[in-house]
Parts: sequence; C-alpha cells; structure tokens
Amino acid sequence: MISLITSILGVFGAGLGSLLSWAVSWFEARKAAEQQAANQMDADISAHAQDGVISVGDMDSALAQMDNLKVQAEQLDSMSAPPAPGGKP
Amino acid sequence: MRASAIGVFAPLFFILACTGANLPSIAPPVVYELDLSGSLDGAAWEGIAVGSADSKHDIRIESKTDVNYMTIQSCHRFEKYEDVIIDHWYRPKRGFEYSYTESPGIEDTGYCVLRLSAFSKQVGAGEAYGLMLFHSPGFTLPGENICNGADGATAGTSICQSMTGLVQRLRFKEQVVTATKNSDGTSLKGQCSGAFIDATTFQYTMPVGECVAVFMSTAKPHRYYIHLAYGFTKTQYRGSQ
Repeated sequence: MISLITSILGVFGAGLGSLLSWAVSWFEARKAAEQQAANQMDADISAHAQDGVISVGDMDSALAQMDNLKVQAEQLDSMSAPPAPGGKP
Repeated sequence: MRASAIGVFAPLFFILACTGANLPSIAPPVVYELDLSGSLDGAAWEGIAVGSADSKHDIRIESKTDVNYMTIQSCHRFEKYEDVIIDHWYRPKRGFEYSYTESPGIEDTGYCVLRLSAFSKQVGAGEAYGLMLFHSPGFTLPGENICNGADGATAGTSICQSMTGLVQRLRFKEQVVTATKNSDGTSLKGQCSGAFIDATTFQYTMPVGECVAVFMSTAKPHRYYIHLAYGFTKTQYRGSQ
C-alpha cells in the first residue's frame, strides 16, 4: 500500500516537475522574443530618424518648383500683355 | 612556354577573382507601403490622406496591435507619444486621438507634409506609417488624380501611393506647366519624373520613396496644384494582426 502511494506520488511529482520546467522555458522564450521585438522597435525608430530630413526635402522641392513657376508666369504674362499706349511696349 | 603562360595567367586570374569578390551588390532600397489607418476629420483614411483647408484637424489612428511608440512629424514639429494603444482585456483601447492645429505660416502652406509613424514591440507587429497633406488657399487648381486604379477629382492638392515603377497620371481641365530644370540644366531635386502626353495630362512613374510635382495653369489667374507621390517597394502582411 505504501509502495503504491509512493509510486503514485513519484509519478505525480515527476509530471509536476516536467510541467514546471516547460512553463519556465515557455516564459523564458516569450521574454526573449519580447526583448527581441523591443530591440527591433528601437532599431526601427532609429532607422526612420531621417523622416524629418525627407519632410523638409519635400517642402524645399515644392518651394523651388513654385519659384520656377512664378518666373514662368511672369514670362507668360509679359508675352500676352497688350502694347503700352504710344506704341512702345 | 607553358611555365611563362602560367606565370602570366595565374596572377591575372587571382586579380579578377578578387575584383569579382569586391563588386558591390546592387540591392533595391526597401520602402514599405504606408498602411497606418484611421480617420481624418471624420473620414476614413489608410496610408495617405488629404485634409481640408481648415487649420484644425481631428486625427484618429487605429491599430489592432499595440502601439508602444508613436511619432507625429511635420516640416515644423516633432511629437512623440508612448504606449498610445495598449490592448488590455479589461481596458480595450484600439485608437489614438490627435488634434492637429496647423502653425500659421509654416504648416498651413499646403506643402508641409504630416508624417505619422507607429511602432510596436509586440512580437511580429513591426511598424506602420502614414502621410497627410492639407488643402491650402495657395493651391486651388482643379485636377484629376488618376492613381493606382482610382480616379478622383481634387482641388489643388493630391497624394498618390502605389508600387515603385508603375505609371500614374494627373489630368487638368486647362493647360498647365510644371517647373523646368535649373538654369544650369540640372533637374529640380525631389521633382516627380514625368512628361505631358498632351496639353492637360501629365504622366509620371512612381518613384522609390517620395517626389513632389507642382503645376501652374498657363492662363490668368495662374492657379497652382501640388501633388505628392509615394512609391513603395515592399508591403507587409497584416492579416494575422
């Protein structure tokens, strides 16, 4: 009877031990994956630090194009302007 | 004779082999599709959006995954927010509300791009981005943005997102011109590369990343139109998120 109880407890203990071992390894793996994801997030943030440069680059490009177009507008307007009174343009 | 031939070709082979090993690999740059989504002034948006000419905008960002770090960046401001979307079972929070008030004279010009970047440290979630441009009284020329299978009438401002290398068009009701090259013959930096296929239709190829094209009507009063194009080289699968 005692040996039966001992063997049942042994089997139960071994099962509990392996369950605990699995739980510990699962938590460790999850923690490692989360740490890796956090490191990746830091790397992603650093990699996109140049967005500000791009943003100002778009603005600079738009401004340069508008300056160019304003010159073209003046040229177009001068070509289509009616001659000044007195015959001289 | 044989020994001298080996003497000539062996060093040559060695040099060629070493040169080949040092050739630079030409890998295309990775530019991800913009797929951050939510609503702008009550209208749904995904990736790109054009906002109204109002100076104040309500922006909502929605995400199925946690957003641990969020940046909002314009030509003028940089703001960061931490843990904006954290989904607890007892406190579900899927969205982030942001009120954007344009800074007069700097952000209300019509060419100040607003960039939204969301980062997650949730395993496999990665990052997501969005771009916004806002109508302005300086850009009022009506146009038609023929972009990525859609055809939409716009007034003065448009954005297009599609894969790099694909062909898109902008159509106007009157004759327009684009900015020409610099006086020294060089191209204007950041200008979209394209050409007019007729007096009112401009055709361009999606760039790698971003480009800007400004148009002006040739007839008086000269009105302007601004277009921002974003070409991506890679998309991210979000199905499981």
